[in-house]
Formats: sequence, C-alpha cells, structure tokens
Amino acid sequence: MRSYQNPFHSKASEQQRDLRTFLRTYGPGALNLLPETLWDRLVVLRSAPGAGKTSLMRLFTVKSLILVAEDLEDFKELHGPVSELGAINGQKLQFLGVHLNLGRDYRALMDFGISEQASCRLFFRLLDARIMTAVLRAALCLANRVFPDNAGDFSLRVRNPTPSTDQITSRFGGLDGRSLQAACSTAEKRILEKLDSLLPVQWDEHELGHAELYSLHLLSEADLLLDGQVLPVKPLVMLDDGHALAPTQRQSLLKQLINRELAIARWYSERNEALSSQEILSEESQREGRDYELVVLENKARADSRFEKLLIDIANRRAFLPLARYTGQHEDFDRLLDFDDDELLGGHGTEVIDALHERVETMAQPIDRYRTWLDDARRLQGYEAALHWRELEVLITRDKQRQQRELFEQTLENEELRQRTSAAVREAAALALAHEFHLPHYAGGSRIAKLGSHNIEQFLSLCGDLFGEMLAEITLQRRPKISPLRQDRIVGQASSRLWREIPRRVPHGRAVQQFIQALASMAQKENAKPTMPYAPGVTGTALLMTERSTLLDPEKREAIPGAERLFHALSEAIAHNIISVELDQRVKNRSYMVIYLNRLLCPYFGLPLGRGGYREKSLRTMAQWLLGSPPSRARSDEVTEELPL
Amino acid sequence: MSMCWNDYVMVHDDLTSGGVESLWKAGLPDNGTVLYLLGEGFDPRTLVGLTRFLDMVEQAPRKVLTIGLAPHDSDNRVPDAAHGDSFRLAQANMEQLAKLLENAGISPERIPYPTVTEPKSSGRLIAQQLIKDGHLDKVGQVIVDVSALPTGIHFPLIGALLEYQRASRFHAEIQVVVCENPQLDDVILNEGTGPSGPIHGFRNGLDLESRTANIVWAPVLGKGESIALRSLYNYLKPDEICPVLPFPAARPRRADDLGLEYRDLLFEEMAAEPGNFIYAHETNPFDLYRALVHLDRHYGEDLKPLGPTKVVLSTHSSKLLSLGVLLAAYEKELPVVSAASMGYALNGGVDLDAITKHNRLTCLWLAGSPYQ
Repeated sequence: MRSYQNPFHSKASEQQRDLRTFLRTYGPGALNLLPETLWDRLVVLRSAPGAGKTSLMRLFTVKSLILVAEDLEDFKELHGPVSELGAINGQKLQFLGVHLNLGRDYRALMDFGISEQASCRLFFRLLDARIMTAVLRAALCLANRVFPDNAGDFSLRVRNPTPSTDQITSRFGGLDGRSLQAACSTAEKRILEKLDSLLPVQWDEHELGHAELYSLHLLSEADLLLDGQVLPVKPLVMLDDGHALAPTQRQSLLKQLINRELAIARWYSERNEALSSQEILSEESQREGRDYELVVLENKARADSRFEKLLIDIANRRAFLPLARYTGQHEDFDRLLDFDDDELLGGHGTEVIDALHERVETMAQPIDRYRTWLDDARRLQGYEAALHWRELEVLITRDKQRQQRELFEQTLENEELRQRTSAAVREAAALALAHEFHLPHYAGGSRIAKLGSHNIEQFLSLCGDLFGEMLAEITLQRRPKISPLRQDRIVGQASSRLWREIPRRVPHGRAVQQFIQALASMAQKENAKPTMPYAPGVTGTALLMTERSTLLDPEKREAIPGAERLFHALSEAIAHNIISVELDQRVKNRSYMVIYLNRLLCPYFGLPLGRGGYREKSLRTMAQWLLGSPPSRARSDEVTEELPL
Repeated sequence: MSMCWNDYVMVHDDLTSGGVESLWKAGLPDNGTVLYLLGEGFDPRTLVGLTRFLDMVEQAPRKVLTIGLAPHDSDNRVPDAAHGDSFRLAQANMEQLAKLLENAGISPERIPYPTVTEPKSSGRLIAQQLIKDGHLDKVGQVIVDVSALPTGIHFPLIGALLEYQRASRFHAEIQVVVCENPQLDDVILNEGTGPSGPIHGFRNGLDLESRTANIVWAPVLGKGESIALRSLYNYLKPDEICPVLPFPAARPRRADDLGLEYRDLLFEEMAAEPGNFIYAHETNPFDLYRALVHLDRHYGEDLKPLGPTKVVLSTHSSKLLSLGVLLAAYEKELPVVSAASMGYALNGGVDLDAITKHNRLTCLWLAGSPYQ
C-alpha cells in the first residue's frame, strides 16, 4: 500500500536544509505587517509565542533572500513584496541578513559570580563575536564561498578611520576575514569554556568584555569587501527571542540597538509579556516612531482580520503539492473543509426544526406580537430554518424580559428584527443549537483558522490532524473532503489533547488548569443565559489595569490569598500561549487587561470562538479561583453518535 | 581505540541479598573519609541507598553531604498547592534524614540550592561549590546517590568529580549509586517543561556560532516524553536522528511500545530513518555508553569524508541509563541537551509502601583503583 506524507506534520520545512519548502509555503501576507521604516532604525517585533516572528526573520536571512531574488519562477509571490520592502532589487540583494537567537547562553552569564556590569560586558563581547562571525559567514554565502575556509577572501574597510574605529578594529583582531574569524572564534570559545567549566573558574574583571556592542559600530562605519571589491549590500542584524535575556541584559541591549547613530539595519524580537514591564527603554527621550518602530504582530493582524487569511494561505500552500500528487486534482485545502450548512443537521433536520418550532411557538404566546417573525421563520428550510428559530428564541426571550413594556404591544416587523439581531447573536444561536442537538459546530475553513488562535504552529498542527483524515479518504480512493461532523470530532480531540498536556508542558500547569476551569465555568454560566447577553458568548475575563499593577508587585500580592499562585499561573499561561492578553482595553472610562482563552481550548469547554465577550473580575476573585479544590469540571457534552464509515 | 570503561565494574542488587555493599566495602579507603552525596528530594527512593550505607559496619570516617533542590529550597520557591505532595514528601525525607544521621552520629552538611538567573546554571554552580568549599578534602571514596538528583544536577556533579580526578587534584574511588523502580517512575508526573538547551558542563561546542558540523541527535527514549522530544528537536534542528531504545529489557516489548508511542513524532514529524535505531540494555548503562561511543566513531571517523558531524545526546529514560549518556558524553566530549521538568507531582491515590517494595539499587564504580 502506498504511504503518504502529511505536509503539516513534517518539520523538515523548518530545517535550514529544506529552505525551498519553507519559502514555498511561506504566506507573503505576513510581510504586510511590517512597517515602511525597516532599515534605518531599530525595529522591535513583538508577539505571542508561535505567531511567526522567527519565520519572518528567517525570510530575510541571506540564504532565503538569495533564493527569492534568483528564482523568480518558484518564488514569484514572495519576490514582489520582498522587493517592495527594499530587501532585494531585481535579482540583487540589498541587505545581508543574519539571524541570531538570544535564547542561547547569554542569560547564564549572569551566574558567573561577577558584578552585573562585568556580566554585561561579557554579554556584549560574546554577542559581538557572534554577530561578526555571522556577518562573515553570510558574506561568504552570498559569494558562494565556504565558511570558514574562505574567510581570507573577506575583509572590512572603514570608510573614515578614526582613533575610535581603530580601537574597535583592534578588539576584533583586524579587518581581514581570517583575523576576524580567528579572534571572534577565540573570544566565543573562551567565554563558553568558562561557562561550561565544572571546576571553579577565576575571572579577571578587568580583562572582561566590551562596554558597547562594537560590532554594530564597526559594521556601520565599514564597507564589506570580497576579494577587495565592495559588496553592494548592507548588513541586517536580526536578534531573536529577546525575552530569554535577563532584564538588565535586555535593557542594555536595547539601549545599544536604539542608537540612531548606527547606520545598519537591526531588528529585535521578543515575546509579548503582559505581566512584566516591557518598556523599550525607561527614558522619555526615546520615542516610538522616531527612534524605533514597535510592531505588535497580532494587533496589526487582528486590525483587519488578515491573520486568519494568512493562516489559510499558509495551509493551502503546504497542502497544494501533496494533494495534487496524491489525488491528481488541484484543490485548495480549505475548500475541502467547506460544506453546505444543511450538512450540519446530519439527517436530523426535521426533528431539530420541529422541536425548535414548537418551543418557540409556545413561548411566543400571545403570538400576535411576533406573528410576522414566526410567519417568515416557517418559510425557511434546512439549517437556515433551525438557526433562525433558535435566533428567534433568543430575541423573543429578550423582548419578553425587557423592562419597559407598552400598554398595547404592536406586532414586531422585520425591520425590528434586523435591528435587534446581529452576526454575534446568530453565532451564539448556532453554538447553542449545536450543544442542544449534538450537532457539529467547530468546522469549516474560517473556524479552523480561528482555532489557530494567532499561533501558526498550533494552526499547522490542527491542519495536520485534518490532513490525516484526508489521507484516510485518499487511501480509500475517495475525494478528501471531510464532513463537518468529522472536522468537529477532530477539533474536539485536539482541544482535549491541548488541555491534557497543560500540566506536562507548562510550569505551574495545574494552577493554570485551575484558572482556566474557573474562567470556563464562569463563561459557561454566562453563555447559558437564555437572553445570551454577551453574544457570541464569553470566552475571557478582565482585570483592571490598576489591579494588574498590584499583581505585579511581589509585596502587594503576598497580602492577597492566592495571588502569588495566580501570578505564576498567568505568567506561564501567557508564555505558553494558553491564554492571550490585551492591555489597556478601555471600557466605560476604565482600563482593563483582557484575558482570552486560547481558541483551541474553547471546544473542550463548549465555548464560542469569537473574541470580544468577557466579564471583568476583581483581583481577589481571580486569586480565590486558585485556592482550594478546583471548581467542578466545566465540560461540554461530547458528540456520541457513531460515525458512518 | 580504547575506551575508559571498556571494562567496567557494576553491581545490581539481586532480590535475595544486597550487592552494592560489596562494592562500597571494596572501595573503602585505607586513609581518608567516605563521602556520601545525595539530593534533598521528594522521591521516595531518596534515602534507600543512604540507609543501606549507614547500616554498613563502620570502617572509615564518614561524611554525608546533601544538596538542596528547587523548588523546595530556593528563592524561586512558590507556595503552590500543586507542589503540596512533593513538598510534603521532601520535608518528610529531610526529617527522616536528620534522624538517620543523628543515629549514625554524623553531622549533616549541605550545599544549598544556589540563587541563579538561569536555572540551568545551578548544576554547574553546585559542582563548583563542592570543590570550592573543600568538601572533597581528604576524601578517599565518594558515593554519589543520584536517585533524587535531577539530570541537570547529577550530570555536572559527576562530571566535576571525574574532571577533578583527571586533573590529578583528587584521588578517590568514585562510585555512583541509583535506586531504580519503574513502577514508581510511572506514578511520578513531570510538571512543566523548561526551555531546551545544553546541560551546563556538557555544552562541548554545541552553541558555537562558527560551528559547521552537521548535528546527529541520539535521544535515549522513555515513556511519555513527546513534549520534551519535540522541544529538543525544534532547538537542535538535527540533520539525522538515531533514537535509542532499551533492548533487551525486562518487558521484551518495551522497545516496540516506545516505537509505537513515538511513531508519528519520529517518522512523520522528524523524518527519522527506521534503520537508525540503536539498542542498549535496559539496565546496563555501560552497554549504552559503548553504543554511543561507537556511534560517535561511526559518524566522526568512518563518515568523515561526508563532512564534520557532532553527535548530540539527550536522555529521556531511567536514571540508570542516563549514566550511560553521561559517560559517553564525558569521554568523547559530546554535547548533552535537555528540556528539563520544572516540577514533579505524585499521581494521587497511590500506595507508596506497596510500590517501594520493588526498589533496587545499582552501583557503578567509575574511577579509582579498578581503572589503574
């Protein structure tokens, strides 16, 4: 039997050796999130884990840009946007991108038993050595030479030498490639050997490190040469995962990067950390827009729903070739998830509609007021009818509970219905319908994309599960279209898996689960109200920003039972993308930190996928959630019907 | 090519009579103290070895040195109900330890868990503290009990002892003892997975920016480690994977079960080649050590014309097998990476007394007279 590969499960495209696959499946829409001023000031990229910061940086490394620039046929969709940004010009690179991960050894430099200042100097020295090595390697790659064998072909030439640049040059062993490479390699090895030493080490603090990031100054003042000829590219230094640094390291680094005298492009990325101070710098003289550009990827993407389209685009690209190869047809992955709404009723349409019809007719007594609404509803068929009856049930309930009642109630017309309802009400009605009659709900390309929760890795994993089902259909020589019932079941399993893995994956995992369960219970209670006051439903909670400040203060939170546990649970939940947070959300003249569940957890608790619905809670209430036994499991009913084979 | 532990000395307890005491007695110094090192852990196996050691007839002056462990002893400790079980068990162990030492007439000594910015630094700092504080002065025999010591601590500790010995600054019999109990392993749940990275002291050039070698990753597989394996894979981005399975094993199908558990992860996600599996005896770390040394030779020498490679190890199996990883890494200067657990908890409703009946000690003699 032929065996098929699942393109979503394969991590090979993330490997440097399979750069083509990475580029082929990279959605160019992500580039729209970048600002125009990319090259002459510090660009700070911030996002939740998995939102694509590293992939975005990887696109601008020299190897990626070479492929995009030279292979127009294979990468024509990337070539345009990358050119527009200025990274390439036709087939020529404009920038020499190097990517360095700050999640390596740097933090451990703080544990040498030397002063903080000395640790910082070591940090700069190590980072300098790595930046210069990376630039040398990238330049040789551009010229198709071998690193480190051809290091001697490379050199730097300072445009206007000064005593200051001479001093900087001497720190790097000279300007020719071989000396540079030797000096940087030696410096890096020396520091790492001491870092790795199991026997006690002695440091002479005076011999330590660099007071600044000299590599950036040198690269700003020098041309890059190969065989004595100037390379027509400028360096682009990309430093990734800055959140892994110690706070003092992060501050010191940003101070270096923000310097407007630097004439090289530099990008810096870090995770969104809603429970710590993430000021770029505390000095007021540093202004966003002038001295640096801050790009919060989710905010930009969420602003016009681009992120979901981007995710679908990535999924289609990944699946395109395998689907074509296995089925002989050209079909988009997301199209294979589409379905007619009537399929949601799964053959039980009549009983569902009849049950709702009867219930609504009964509760609508006396009927005169709602006659028009009911007459119109009776004319509908299929899922549209079922949804509309459920929607009417909500609207009629709201109408009956309204406080001001007229003496002689008039018949409500369709115009009033349109004013009183919304897409949010219909979404809430759809979910209630699904729960009550055990119908699938979490299905369809758009909902699957929402379940990605702005996390590309999570989305691809879910797509992998769905593609696995498609492969089963292909094996049975059927069209790989998955029914909504099957999609809903697969999503449910992925949701359960995410929930179950929390204690294993996330530090303070059980506290995180306790928080999530309490939040979900609260949300379920709100969503069960017959008037559905927070349509499409509550999926989050909120804390006053002033109370957030209390939570950040170790002394203040000690005074509140459960607050310490809450702080750690929230910190880890954010770091591991179990929850997402939006700061400074204004509601009725008050500012809140809004906390949303990872969308993929919503199916486990039977919650809707839309963002917007949340109920604010006090810090004390949230802290109490973390005390004692967890609340009773807030779990929705599972679909128990057997699937047809 | 000779290997340090080509011939080795190891004793398992058998079920009828103790075996490790024979090794301890054989290692007793003519002059010098016997130092017993252990962790202040919550694990019910923490004091099994020490109890047996203290019951031995006293033939040499003895010292017991305990090592404080997070989160029970550190500035990072969090009063967290989730740690309730493990915290209480650790406290109970320490009370029991105090009684044991009092009865034996031994004054307790300890190295507290250090305050660190990077948790992975703790093992290295504890190892350095062991030497700096003079705990090894006049010691003729060191017994390191790793039963309650996490990998991030016992790797640097044992590595430091071997290195100190190699630097000729220390001449003692170095033995490692571990209390194994697979049933207990099944009821101890790992909580939270830390970031991936090299174990300090075993970086061995992995993170050099100038590195050009291809990465060959050899994870020693154990049950329930998919999260850590995935994290390490993303960190290393290896060019080749050679997973290690335990065979022979007490349960003959154990290797099959692990292959099934990780089938999707290894073959679909990581594109591991089925022909790359390595097998090592479940209870003989020296067998694993040999297999890994051969692996390094195979890639380093036999396949040299294809380009430089770096074999990187990780251990996800028993403490006993992890010692095989340690020995190979120490001898061949191979990097060892980990995505350590951030905490532990006990599965509720477990009859610990019933399970602990299956405890079994193993002692490895790593340095000293047998190797001279």
